[in-house]
Amino acid sequence: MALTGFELGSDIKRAPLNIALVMDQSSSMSGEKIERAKEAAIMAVSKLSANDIVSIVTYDSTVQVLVPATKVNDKSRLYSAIEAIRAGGSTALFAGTSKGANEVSRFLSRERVNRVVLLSDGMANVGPDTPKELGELGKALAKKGMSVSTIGLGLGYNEDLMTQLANYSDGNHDFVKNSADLARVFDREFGDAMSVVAQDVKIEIICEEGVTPIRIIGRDGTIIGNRVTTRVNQLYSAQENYVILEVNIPASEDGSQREIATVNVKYNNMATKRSEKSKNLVAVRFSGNSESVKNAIDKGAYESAIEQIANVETQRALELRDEGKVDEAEKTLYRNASFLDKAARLISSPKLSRQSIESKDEANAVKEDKNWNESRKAIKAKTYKRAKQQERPK
Amino acid sequence: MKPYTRTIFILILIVPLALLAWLGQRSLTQDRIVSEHQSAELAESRLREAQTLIHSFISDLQQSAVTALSLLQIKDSVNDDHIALIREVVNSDPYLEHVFILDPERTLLFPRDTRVHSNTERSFSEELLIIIKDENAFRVNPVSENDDSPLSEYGIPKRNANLYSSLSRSRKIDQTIADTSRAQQGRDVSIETGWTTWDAGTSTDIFLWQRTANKVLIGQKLSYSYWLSQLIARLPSSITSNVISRNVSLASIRLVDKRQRSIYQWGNYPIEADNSQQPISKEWLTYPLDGWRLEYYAPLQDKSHTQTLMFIVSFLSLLALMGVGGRLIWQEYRREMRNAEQRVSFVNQVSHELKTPLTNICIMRRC
Repeated sequence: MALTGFELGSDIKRAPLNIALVMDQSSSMSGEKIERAKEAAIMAVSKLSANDIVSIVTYDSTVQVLVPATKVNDKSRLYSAIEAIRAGGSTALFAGTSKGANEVSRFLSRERVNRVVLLSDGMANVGPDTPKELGELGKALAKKGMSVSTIGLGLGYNEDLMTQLANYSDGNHDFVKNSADLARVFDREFGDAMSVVAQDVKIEIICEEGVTPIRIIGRDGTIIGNRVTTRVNQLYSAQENYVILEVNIPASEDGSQREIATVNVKYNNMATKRSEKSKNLVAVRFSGNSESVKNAIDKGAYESAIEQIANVETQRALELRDEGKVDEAEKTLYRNASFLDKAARLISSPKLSRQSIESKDEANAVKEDKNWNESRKAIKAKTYKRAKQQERPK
Repeated sequence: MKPYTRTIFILILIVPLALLAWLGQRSLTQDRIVSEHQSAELAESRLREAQTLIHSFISDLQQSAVTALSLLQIKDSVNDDHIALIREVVNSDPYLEHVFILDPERTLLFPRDTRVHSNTERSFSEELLIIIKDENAFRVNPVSENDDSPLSEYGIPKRNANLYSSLSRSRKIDQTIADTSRAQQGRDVSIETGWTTWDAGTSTDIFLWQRTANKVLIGQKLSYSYWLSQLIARLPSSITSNVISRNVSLASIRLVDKRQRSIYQWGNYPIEADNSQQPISKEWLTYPLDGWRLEYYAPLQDKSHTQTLMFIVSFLSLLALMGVGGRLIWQEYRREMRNAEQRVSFVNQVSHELKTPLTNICIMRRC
């Protein structure tokens, strides 16, 4: 099932932002990195309008709230606060995120896009530091109504921690190898936040009798009996977002048709500032003829489904590699590539062929030890983006 | 005669100096003790402040524990409406990870394997089975029964709106919570609430539970990360190093958990990461944060060091001055003495020279 955000026209005012910029200023950031980060932050702040709320938090061994959450009236004050950032100390990532989230929660509102943007280049070494703990924090913050985007800079950060932190709130995650690219990523991040058209999208899928849900592909959700619930934190303007559910349907006669599920969607429309609902029915038609099945394939849906299934496989390959099973990981990725190729031929999809080539490249990367740290960060960011459908058409 | 004067002379020089040194040293120690005492007092008061912050956070949290959940009129079974409400509360409250319900006989009413559950609920119920076996798991902690403990208040719960504000909570629940608070204020029912911490492997589970009037236990497993993050949000943040003026004394406070892991620190004094530094003062936290401590760090007596140094320098220069002066005076004294001796011996000689001829003359005259 797919959800598409309506396009923000010039007549519709975008939802105001409530954003906390949480920046790493540990000693590893010193030099080029911190200067680029400051430039990127200043550039991002310059795009905000007077209606937006921003706060700036930096962390090293301790946490400094440079600018508490305020409306963007006096930009020069913000600029001078950013200019004054100096690098030095350890990385209290958990505390930094906590303080940033606290600043956002001061003005937490359904009408605003509530978001924490975290930049880090190193391992968290003060306070909680495991991916699980940070993931849990991300989940609680998502429940509270804010999203967390994470930007990993350089090769020193923990990609598992950063993706888990962003995961539950459908925040963005980016791997920035070169600090020169920071401005572009910040620009994208703020642009994204400005194009949010719906928030807190709750999806409930109730399967009909006999249909058993197996798993939601590429996203967290809860399956209780025949009820499946999942949540998409936000929808962006003119962007399609889909949830893929794998179900088991009992075989039926040729030509017969049946309903398999009811889908209820509830969301906050940011333009009308109202909570809206929609309801849909999903039906299937059975056929004994493989040719007619092939012709009936909904190309878009099929492509998305294959993309996500292959993505889950890539993630599994990554896990295998982490366990030291290099050969198995490589095999999984090659299998993935041929699976993608086959699907690409069936519906003649250039997108899936591209993914297949990527999969082969990844299979090569898995074998190499030398650049594995970098490759792992790149693959992790790529699979994350794919699962979150983060790449948006410009 | 000479060495004797010398000793006296040296004594005259040394005694006041020694007296001065002794007095100076005494006043210095006294000063140090006073300043040590002052900084210890400062450390303690800062630590107590932080401790109060943490304890008030905990007790606020405990007071807010009585939520929509206590409205559940559960006697001996859990029905579908109850479960729907529980799930809605869990899904919308950032503090909550899981909820479970125990009947007076300590059997699990929810989550229960005979019902349809999600995977997380199922694995939670497996975890719970071990905890429930512990008889003391959900009792009022004996430590917290002291009057001065912030955890002993089992009065009428007041909800702290800030603490439990959540955007995704539906209006329905907000309404029920408001009703609950009102109902409770009206009827003076005492609901027993308490904390339970459970160490499982490398992580600690924190449960906040309440026992309703009909002895049903409603337990809430808190999200450890969120709980910690809210605690950190309450604690002070630091000021940027380039804003700090020179007059502000350097100090930092660090919160350390049961596993000796540094959780959060604030202040302007850089603490060595390798734990090589000793804190000036420590303060232990109480249940449910037993084993946690606050540590106060500050530079070691910088002021008295410079004082001692100044004293020693001035004493040494005084000593040198007196040495030089004493030597000059001694030399002067010696010259004077020599002159006097010369005078005396001259007079003696003169008188002798005079006496000899005079004697001769006298003798000659008598004769």
